[in-house]
Amino acid sequence: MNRKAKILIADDSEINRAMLSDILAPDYEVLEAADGEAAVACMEQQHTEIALVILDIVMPKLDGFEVLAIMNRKGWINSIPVIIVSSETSPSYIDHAYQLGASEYINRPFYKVAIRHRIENTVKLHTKQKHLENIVAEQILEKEKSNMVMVDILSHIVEFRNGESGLHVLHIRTITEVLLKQLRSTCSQYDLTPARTALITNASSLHDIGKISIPEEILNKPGKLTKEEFEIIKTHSAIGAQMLEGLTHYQNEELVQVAREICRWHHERYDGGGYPDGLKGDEIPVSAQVVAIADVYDALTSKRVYKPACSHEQAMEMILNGECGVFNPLLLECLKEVGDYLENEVKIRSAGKITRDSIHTLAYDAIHSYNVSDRTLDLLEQERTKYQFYASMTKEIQFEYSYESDTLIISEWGAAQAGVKESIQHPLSDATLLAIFSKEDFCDLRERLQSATPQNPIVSQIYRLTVHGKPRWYKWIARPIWGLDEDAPPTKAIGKLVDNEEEQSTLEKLTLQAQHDDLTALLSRNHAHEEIEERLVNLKENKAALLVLDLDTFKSVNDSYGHSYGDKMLRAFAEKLRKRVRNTDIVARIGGDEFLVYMEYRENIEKLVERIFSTVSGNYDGFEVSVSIGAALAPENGVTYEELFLCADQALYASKHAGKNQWKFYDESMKDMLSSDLRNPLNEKKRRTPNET
Amino acid sequence: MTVREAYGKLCGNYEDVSYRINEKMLLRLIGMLLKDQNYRDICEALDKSDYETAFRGAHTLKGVALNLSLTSLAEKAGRLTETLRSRQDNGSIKPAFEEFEQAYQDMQAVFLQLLASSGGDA
Repeated sequence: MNRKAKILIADDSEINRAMLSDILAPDYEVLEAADGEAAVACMEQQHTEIALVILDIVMPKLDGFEVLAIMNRKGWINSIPVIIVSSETSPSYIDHAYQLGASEYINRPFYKVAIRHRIENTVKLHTKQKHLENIVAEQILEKEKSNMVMVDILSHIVEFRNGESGLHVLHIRTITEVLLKQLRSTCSQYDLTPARTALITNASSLHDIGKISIPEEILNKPGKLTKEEFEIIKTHSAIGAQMLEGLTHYQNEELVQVAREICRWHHERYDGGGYPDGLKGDEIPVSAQVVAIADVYDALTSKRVYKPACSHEQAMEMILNGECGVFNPLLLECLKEVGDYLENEVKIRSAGKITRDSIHTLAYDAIHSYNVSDRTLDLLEQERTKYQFYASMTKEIQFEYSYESDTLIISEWGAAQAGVKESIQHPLSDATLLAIFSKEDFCDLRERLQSATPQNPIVSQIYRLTVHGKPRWYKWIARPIWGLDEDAPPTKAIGKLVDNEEEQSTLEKLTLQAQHDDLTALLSRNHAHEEIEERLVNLKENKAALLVLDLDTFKSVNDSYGHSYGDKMLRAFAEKLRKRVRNTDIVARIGGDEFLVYMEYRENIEKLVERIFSTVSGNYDGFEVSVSIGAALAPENGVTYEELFLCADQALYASKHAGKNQWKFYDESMKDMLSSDLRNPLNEKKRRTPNET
Repeated sequence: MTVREAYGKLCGNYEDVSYRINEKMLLRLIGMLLKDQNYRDICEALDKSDYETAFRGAHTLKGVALNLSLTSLAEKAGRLTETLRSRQDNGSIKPAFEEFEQAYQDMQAVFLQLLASSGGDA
């Protein structure tokens, strides 16, 4: 990293910051914070890049001591040196600052040359120390890696000799790890830190190394073992332990100690019924207890020369019933809990998992010993650059929220797009933000994130934002992030907002399309039905008329001029009809050449109907068109769409019957015309019920 | 008026400040000091008996004055700071504030004159 080192100056006086910044600017990139909160927010974002913090004590919001306390809590104090610059000379202040991990304490007024040197020395010293730590950390990583490789080779040799599938060790590791994690989440009795869990998992690979001393004929004998042979097999656990005890140099290695426990006692049973020592209950170390169950489960579900494989269900039943000896009831509970998950996990992890496992462990060790090497930081930096690059191209608003500091960080492009700051402290009380994203939606999102689980982490929801004063739909996709310890509450939530306006408007367009007839752009039958129904309900003192129109000679137009001419004519007819009626009227095409008009009126409906009749009849492109109309009135003939439609349809039929090219209101005399005619097989036109299309 | 003369009038330590800060920067800092909010904050806070804010303001101005080697102003700000350290009303606040106020107003008057004669507020 060749750019200038960054120094953060936290001081509430602009004059003081200007003085320091003037001194430092030639050699460093200077970041400024006007109060303690801003200083913490800045570190939150950039603590991996900040080489030094210059801190004032008396500041608003959070004072210098509180900032130091937070840096301790977050572990930043280990990687960022702090120089206090203050006009306070009281020894208690100075003591307190040093106790909290400050590297230097400088009084005002300060001298340019002196402060420059002290800053430079502090940065150098720290860099040097970090460099040394890196060397040590890399060596530890190297050692851990070789450990893992050696363990793998060793356990593989044993397996190879046992004639096992080569997956046994892998399965034992997987099952051990899953059970330990479950145990850790259900009880605290066994002090299972993540590091200890990783160690036991790793050591479990060695559980059968004692078998190396058992004659191959016995190990791989296809039939049942004799009593003597079984006694010989049983010695493998004690022998494995002895092999490890015989190591002269590594007796104090935790890995060796745990592996020894596992070797010796992984055939013990909780009731004392196992071998070689007949230990009972928690006399058996928990590591060996867990491996014992893992061993039995895998033995049952794998095929061996002397037996076929059982199913997962059979194996679970046999273990839970005590057919394979007595186990710790707590562990059996865990096994029950993880049962289904275990079955899959063992399958999934069967290939290539050791490398993934080891990376996980290495990463864990590296992070938890605070010896994050520069190489790691370099990689992180590259990741960040990559992330920023993609973020800037995607046109998505990306965000990251830290639960601990209650800070929301928004990608550069996203913040510019939404018109907010990139880093927002206490977002739920930030007025600018709430003007864009309503508090209600905010709380809704937070609740959804709270109920997300590691198995089911993704939350997706569409919310309406007000961006630059305009409402716009966005789809939110977010998830919480857990640390390595998945049982602890999440530390962060990340996610993105994708503009959903287009999708939403496409949806609206489709809805609109469905409501209208393709050919004439009039309303479709179903939609007209709904609208009319609604209007009839709210009719009040108005009266209404429903008209059904039918072109008398349309069939012959289609027959003699073709369908495209017919379509053209229908469009022209629809256009005339639409122009004739008022905006408040409803016009729909309800069938091939049938149309419907709904209109509300106060008086003189005859005139209105007559006007429509005379407008739409006439000459279309040289073709005489006549039309028949049936009309029904609300409330006289009915008050629902069904009633009115039936009456209008009967009136239409009456018009046709009376010689076409005319219109009629429904009256009682038409009542039975249609039903009697329906029975007539020579009926010229098939009638429909109102809801049939 | 020169910077040296201004510091003379204000009982500041010109030797010290000119050793630490070059003149151009110093004029810039003086310009910033004339726009500084802390004095107003202290006055308002004392009116409202908000001793926490008053303490912080006095403390900050003490630091600023020290940085600029305005020895006399720093002393007075320092004394006011100490009377406010308990964050409680007491008899010594008023006299300390009055002394400080006088020194601050002197500083403003002299520096305004200085900037006017040095051609602008840097």
